[in-house]
Amino acid sequence: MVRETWNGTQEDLRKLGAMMQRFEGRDPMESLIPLLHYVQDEYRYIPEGAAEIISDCWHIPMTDIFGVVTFYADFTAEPLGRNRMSICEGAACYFMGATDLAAAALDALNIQYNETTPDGAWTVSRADFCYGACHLAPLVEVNHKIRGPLTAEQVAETVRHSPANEH
Amino acid sequence: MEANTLPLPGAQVMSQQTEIEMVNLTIDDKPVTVPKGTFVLYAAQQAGIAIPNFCQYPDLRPFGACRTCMVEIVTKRSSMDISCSTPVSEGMKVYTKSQKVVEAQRFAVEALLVDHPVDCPICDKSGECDLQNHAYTTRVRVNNPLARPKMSWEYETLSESVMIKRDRCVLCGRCVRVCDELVGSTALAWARRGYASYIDAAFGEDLKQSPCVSCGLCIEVCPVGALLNTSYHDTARAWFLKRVDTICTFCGVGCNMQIHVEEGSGRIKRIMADSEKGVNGQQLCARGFFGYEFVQEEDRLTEPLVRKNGELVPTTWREAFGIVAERLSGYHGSQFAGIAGAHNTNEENYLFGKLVRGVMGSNNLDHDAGAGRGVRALGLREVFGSDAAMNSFVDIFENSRAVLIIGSNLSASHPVFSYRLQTAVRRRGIKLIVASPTPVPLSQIAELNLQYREGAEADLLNGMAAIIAQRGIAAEGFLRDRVDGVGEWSDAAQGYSLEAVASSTGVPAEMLERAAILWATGGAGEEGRGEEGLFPPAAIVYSNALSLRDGGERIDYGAAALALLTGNVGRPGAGVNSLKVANNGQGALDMGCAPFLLPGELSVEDAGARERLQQVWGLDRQLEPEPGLSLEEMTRGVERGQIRAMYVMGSNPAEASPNPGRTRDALSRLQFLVVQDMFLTPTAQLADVVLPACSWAEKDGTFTNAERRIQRVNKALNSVGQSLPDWTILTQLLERMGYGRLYRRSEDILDEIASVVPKYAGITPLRLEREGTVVRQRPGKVYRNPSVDQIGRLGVQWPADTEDPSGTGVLYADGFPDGRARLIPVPFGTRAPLGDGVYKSTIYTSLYHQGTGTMTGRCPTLVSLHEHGAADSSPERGRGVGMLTGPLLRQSGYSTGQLTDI
Repeated sequence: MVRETWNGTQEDLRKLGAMMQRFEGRDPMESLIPLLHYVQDEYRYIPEGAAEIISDCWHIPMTDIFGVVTFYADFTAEPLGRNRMSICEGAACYFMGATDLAAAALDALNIQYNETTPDGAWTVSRADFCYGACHLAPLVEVNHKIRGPLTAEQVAETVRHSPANEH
Repeated sequence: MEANTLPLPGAQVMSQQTEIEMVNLTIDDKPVTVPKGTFVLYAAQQAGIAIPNFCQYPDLRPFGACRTCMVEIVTKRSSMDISCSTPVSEGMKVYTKSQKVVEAQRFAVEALLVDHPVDCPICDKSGECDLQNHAYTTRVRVNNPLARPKMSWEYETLSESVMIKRDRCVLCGRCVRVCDELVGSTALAWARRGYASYIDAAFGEDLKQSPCVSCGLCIEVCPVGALLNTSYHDTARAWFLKRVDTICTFCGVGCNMQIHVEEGSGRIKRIMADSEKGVNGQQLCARGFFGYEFVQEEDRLTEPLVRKNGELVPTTWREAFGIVAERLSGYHGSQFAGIAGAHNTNEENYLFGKLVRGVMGSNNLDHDAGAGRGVRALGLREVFGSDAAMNSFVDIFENSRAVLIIGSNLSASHPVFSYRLQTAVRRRGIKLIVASPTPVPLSQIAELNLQYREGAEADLLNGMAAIIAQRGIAAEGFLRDRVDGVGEWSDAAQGYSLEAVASSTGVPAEMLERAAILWATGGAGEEGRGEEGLFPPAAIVYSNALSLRDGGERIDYGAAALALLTGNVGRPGAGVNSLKVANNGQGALDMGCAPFLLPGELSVEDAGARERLQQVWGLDRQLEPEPGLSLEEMTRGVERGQIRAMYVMGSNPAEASPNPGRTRDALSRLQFLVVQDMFLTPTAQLADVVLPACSWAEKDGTFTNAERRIQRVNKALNSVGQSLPDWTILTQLLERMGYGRLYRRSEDILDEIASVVPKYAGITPLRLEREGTVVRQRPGKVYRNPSVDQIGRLGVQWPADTEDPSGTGVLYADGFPDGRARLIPVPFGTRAPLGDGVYKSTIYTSLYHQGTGTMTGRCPTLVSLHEHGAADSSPERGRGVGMLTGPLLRQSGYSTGQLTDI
């Protein structure tokens, strides 16, 4: 997966245009969320510039797009790190030491939950939902893959040595 | 554009609903009868029962966010439901005070208090806060069982005019919804969800970068102190404010507003719309909401000034009147000229006309009708008999099926009209056609946008009319019965071939055809003809500044041709509506502030009219029968030595004139110049005597808005310094000149107007006060007992001598003043001359300023909102440019101007 930052270049416009093309003939309001998924996957956030173009072309107020982007946890208005870690703090993981895992990851990266490292390598968040994999507790999700059970050391090691763009 | 299928709350004013089905129900065992579709909340209000609620607001669609308005509803079985979005049904029993209801309502309010900081002592809203009221009426418990640590937010500014304190927010969404539904701006958004929800501009931008028009409606509708007015913040307590109903002093819409004056200091603290049934609904624009600061500016004139040794020095009223009376007696007839003010009241303009015509014996009388121009030939008067908009605003919103806007950025010139039209277009599916050389905000919701070449308005309108005639969709019966000159017009229409019009206007032929058919058939298509051979009604709307240019009457003729050809005159939802730009532009014309018109739009050449006027005014000499010089001609009149003395009231020709330098030279060449104004304007700086006048907030009187509605202006404050209302100054001056003490109150002048001006016959102060009065009840205010506390006024539309106490909503419904209307042919290709320069682009005045900015330029909030430079010529977002003077701009002023070079 290619991951770039939105700069409003011709290439960006072409990419966004291609994404919007897929919804041709469909109702804009119905197509907005699937389109935003494409944008989020591509850029790791919903750039304001992209939202403006969507707003102008599909006649959806910017406020509505902003509302959708902030409502759903899958979308962000700020760029996320190249790697994402979600730490489950559900009951099972919690009792198996999820807080230690979180502390280890956040200390190693020197950030807080929902923050991105200054070099843009990692974003760590608390899991929004149950993975249904309590037998792996304590577990973390790294770039859409579930790993567990893990120790605090292993988590710290993951964030420290994981090269950028590793999936 | 989705159709609104949900029933709208409130009465449908003036709509042409045939039969309204009524529903009977009981609320707290009180029998109530309301129209079908009314929500329980409104039915209860009608029965005098207040139900606490936050998210409902009149004229918004039901939303059901706050859950505070729970009531017990018994139909077949008993259930709890929210009253704001439950429609009434026959035999329904509603209980609003039962134990279950009280507990449910209290729970909702307690839930809102979990995060609310309850910082009432330092909150601007305290005393008029719905949360305070509902917490009180639902008796919330001191120890809130839902309590947890509160989330807190600091004050933040969204723009120079709007602040937000998010922890006070109850997330009712009124602000987001009024912005979308009533203003059409969509500047505010919900962000995030659940506990974390908050209100913000899209992507957290400054509101000024968003489509926000700073109308202040979000602040006004906020039921708590979350959205705050920066200029009101921390300056007053609500319970010390006296609220005075009056009419806005800026544009021709004539919005009803309340001036809130602090009781101790006597200063204006803020302005709110707050009356339920004015022409503006509950809305104001940025000018109305924030444009009061000039009243309290330091540089208001507080004492009369006279020129001594070349310097303007303060003097007494006695001396000033003495000088003016003495010097004026040295001039007579055409040596003298007067310029009245389009922002002055009817009484003042009438009296001014009496001074100029009756006392000074001159017909050199005019007013700045817009863009620094005087009253023109009045094309509409030639065609129909009267220069006025035909249909009332509400009638257009409720009944039109298609609306054509030509050459006007109504969002800046008549903002509230454009907001309400926008709502009507979206809710009722009105087919909107916007013809404009550059895109304007309303273009975004238009069915068709015709982008024509500047100056081709007459070709465009007549071209569309020619298409209608050729297509055979004209209203033949109407033309036969009520219109003259059809033959000549048809001959001239031969010259308007589709190709020629397309190449002259720059609008593609196919677009022209679509627009003509869409408008002529009221969107119903060529098969949609109704019973009387007429299509559904369609209206034309434009700002009258458009037809003030040289040759502008051709635009009036074209618009009139379109309307007459399709029978869109004298019926609801139709008409040629040329809206006067200034708040009392219509009134100034009605009062005869034009070189060729006496009060009541009677020609100065009409001997009978002059005779009557002489009698009422008690003159022993004859009124002049020759038309005088217009505003533009006055400059030349001074230059050639004809005019030697001039009296300017509430006008600033030295800046507003299309050629300010030349006008300034002419004014300084006068032997004697009197200027009566609030400020030392560039015109006043040239005067020999400057008389300090009051602002509109400091006087009584009447304004006539762009839809002919005469409305009362009420005094809210005491005059600043020694300044006096213009009518008092004129009365005292007339007394000084030997005419006796004529008027004690402004109402005395109104009585005289009613006897002189036929259209105003039957107008009395009491009638203006009473007619259309609507009383509404709001849930009680904490520091007052719950009571009926709002009275909205509607005023009276002239001709007022009607059975209907609110006057004439639709002009010419019973025929034309001269019996028949007259189609006036315009030869093809007569473009309005654009002046001597080569124009690069059309610019529009700003939403935040009006005229030369004498008033708006002194309002810090408006100035801060207006940050666009001279090179901005894109009014899409409703801002545009304003207050441009100097060599760049040849035509400056109210609505449009042309930029010669960037």
